[in-house]
Amino acid sequence: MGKIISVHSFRGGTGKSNVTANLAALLARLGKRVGIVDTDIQSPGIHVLFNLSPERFRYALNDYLWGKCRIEEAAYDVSGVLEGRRLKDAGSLHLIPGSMRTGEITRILRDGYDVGLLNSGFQELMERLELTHLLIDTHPGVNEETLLSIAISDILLLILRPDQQDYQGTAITVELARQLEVEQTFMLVNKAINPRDFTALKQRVESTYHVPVLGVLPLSGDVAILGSGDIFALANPDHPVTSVLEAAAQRIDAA
Amino acid sequence: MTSIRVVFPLIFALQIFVAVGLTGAIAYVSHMREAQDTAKEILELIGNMIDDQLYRFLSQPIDLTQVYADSLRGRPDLPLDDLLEPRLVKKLSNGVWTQAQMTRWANLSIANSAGQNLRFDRREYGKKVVKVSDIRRGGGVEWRLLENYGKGGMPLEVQEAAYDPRTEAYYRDALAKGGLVVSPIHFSPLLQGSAPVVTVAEPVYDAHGRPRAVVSSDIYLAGIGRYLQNLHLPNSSIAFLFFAEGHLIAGSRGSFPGPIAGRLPLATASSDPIIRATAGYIGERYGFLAVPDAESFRYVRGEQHNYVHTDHLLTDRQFAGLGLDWRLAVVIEESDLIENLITGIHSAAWLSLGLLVLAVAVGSWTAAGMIRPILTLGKVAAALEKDELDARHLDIRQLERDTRRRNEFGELAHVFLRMVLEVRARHDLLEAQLEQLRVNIDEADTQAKIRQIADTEFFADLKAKATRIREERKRAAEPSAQAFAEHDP
Repeated sequence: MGKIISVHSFRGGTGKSNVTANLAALLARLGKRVGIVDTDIQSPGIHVLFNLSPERFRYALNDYLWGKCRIEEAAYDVSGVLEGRRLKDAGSLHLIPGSMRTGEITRILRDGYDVGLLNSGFQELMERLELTHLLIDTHPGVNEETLLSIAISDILLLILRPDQQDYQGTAITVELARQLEVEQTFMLVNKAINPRDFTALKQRVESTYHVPVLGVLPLSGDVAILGSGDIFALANPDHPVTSVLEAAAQRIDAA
Repeated sequence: MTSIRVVFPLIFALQIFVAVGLTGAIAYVSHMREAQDTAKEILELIGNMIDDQLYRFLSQPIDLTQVYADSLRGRPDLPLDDLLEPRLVKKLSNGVWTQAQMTRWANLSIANSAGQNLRFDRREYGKKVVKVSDIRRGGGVEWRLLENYGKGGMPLEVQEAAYDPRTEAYYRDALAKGGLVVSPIHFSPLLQGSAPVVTVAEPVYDAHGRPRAVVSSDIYLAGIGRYLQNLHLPNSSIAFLFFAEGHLIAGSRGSFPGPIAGRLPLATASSDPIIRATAGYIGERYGFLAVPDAESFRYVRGEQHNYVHTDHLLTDRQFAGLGLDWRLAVVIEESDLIENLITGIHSAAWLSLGLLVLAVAVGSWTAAGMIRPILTLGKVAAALEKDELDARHLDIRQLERDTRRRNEFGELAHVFLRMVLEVRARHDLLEAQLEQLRVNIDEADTQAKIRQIADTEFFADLKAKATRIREERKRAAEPSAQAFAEHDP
């Protein structure tokens, strides 16, 4: 049975979507069949990293939630990003984007969506596409939709940016995840400033939250330049950032 | 520590002050010296002019005496035993007036060894007179008009006191020397009021070397005074003649006093304040009034600066060897002589002083402008040290303006600003690093917010649903696992 992994952060701008896309790509490179669901209804955007323009997708997650389509109809194979990377035994990548249509975004925000429907949809998707991992790119902060995603996840990966606001908010998220009895919670520190402090930072975060830290990613100019244009780990297989992401992917796979 | 803000402008201003001040002072002293030299030259010129004029004035009686004595020598046959004989007087007078016609006060005396004295002279109204005396007839002096002499009648004046020329110093000196002499000053009884005179005298001898006569001419000191008064000297100036021993001979001031109790007045006791002060100063400077030849100097009387030129008079040509010890002093007030020059120098000095103040002010302003970037650097560095520097800080704005200077200060400001920004960037980075390691969590706040969420029905429902979903998924997974186990050998 595949694993549902929610990738979440308390604040926006932590690089959550970027990390999600990279982890998904690295898992696929390990030969896994990976699905990605963009539940960041308010500001969907992960499809850009997979070069999937809104004109190319007919259905989005919103359409499934409103009963307009089946879940697999909203899933798009984006394994194309793996091509040309000289990968052997690569798995596959499937993306369910969030709707870019403003009216639908508003409707979802107004009415919310049903947790049972979302869960059954994820289960169905995993079965139909035989997914080993389903990564959910959540909306930042703590709200009903976020808690819903976390609640049905096997693994919660919290992306943390090292500043006081994020420290405080993440503590709340970690505790709520415990109360929701999420089986496994990990953290990934992104946009840390001084690489010499990374070991101390990792230890400090782990001892504070009692949650394993999969890695510490620097505030990298290279990553920022690449931005939302490509999957960084695939484009830069030898980059130190890629090494950290690979280790994180392996750890998630092993969990 | 003394601030560069004070020291630098001070040194700068001091340098300007010394440079400009020294130049100004040297120029002032130089111009003053030049003015004083000019004054001395003018005085010397006046002194020489007076000396020259006096020479002409005093050489006339000498010329008259010498020429007349020569004419008598040229007529050895002319008997001089009886000088008062009318025909002889007539003959002798012709030569006198020929010689003396140019000079109003000219006089000539002829004395013989018999004690007779014949004097050709003028009365005050200009009429030619003879003054005759014969010691053998009592020595009284009779004044008669020349044109009436020998025609009888009453004399114009009679001076009862006996006059014997042989007892006069000039007579004795002339015979003793056997040549031209000038007598000491004496009071001639042949003049009204017994005026002070000096007498030029020369003896005339016969073929056997016996004295035939002594020809002489008196020089009136009052005449010298009048002569000096007629010179066109500056208003505040005075020229006076004096002896080395201190007696005043004549002066250019109208109020010049006559002899007192038969003696000439002392220059130091003169009623004229300038003569008195000048003589006093000369006495202090040279000891008595024995001034050396051609000396010019300046002295202060009260608030009055006077220039003085002194010189020996009548020491050359005909007067050489006559033993005259006359001195001339010409005194001119500085204000009168070089007032315009001094005023010009003072104006230039004030202008220089004004320029000096201006130069010091401009120098100080320039120095302040030059050190301002350094002060700004200091302030920015201090603010940086205290961590009080931000982009809105006035000094950093000033530093940014200083970077626009097109000189070394601009380069320095540019480098310093870059360094400050670098330090600030590093500082901010360090702050961020410290911040990311400072994992502080407000437990009370965290728990409060968790309760806000966890205590809601939504959360309880979600938790229940999540539990149920997991159980369903677990159950759904179990048959597969069980089947897998059954097929596992």
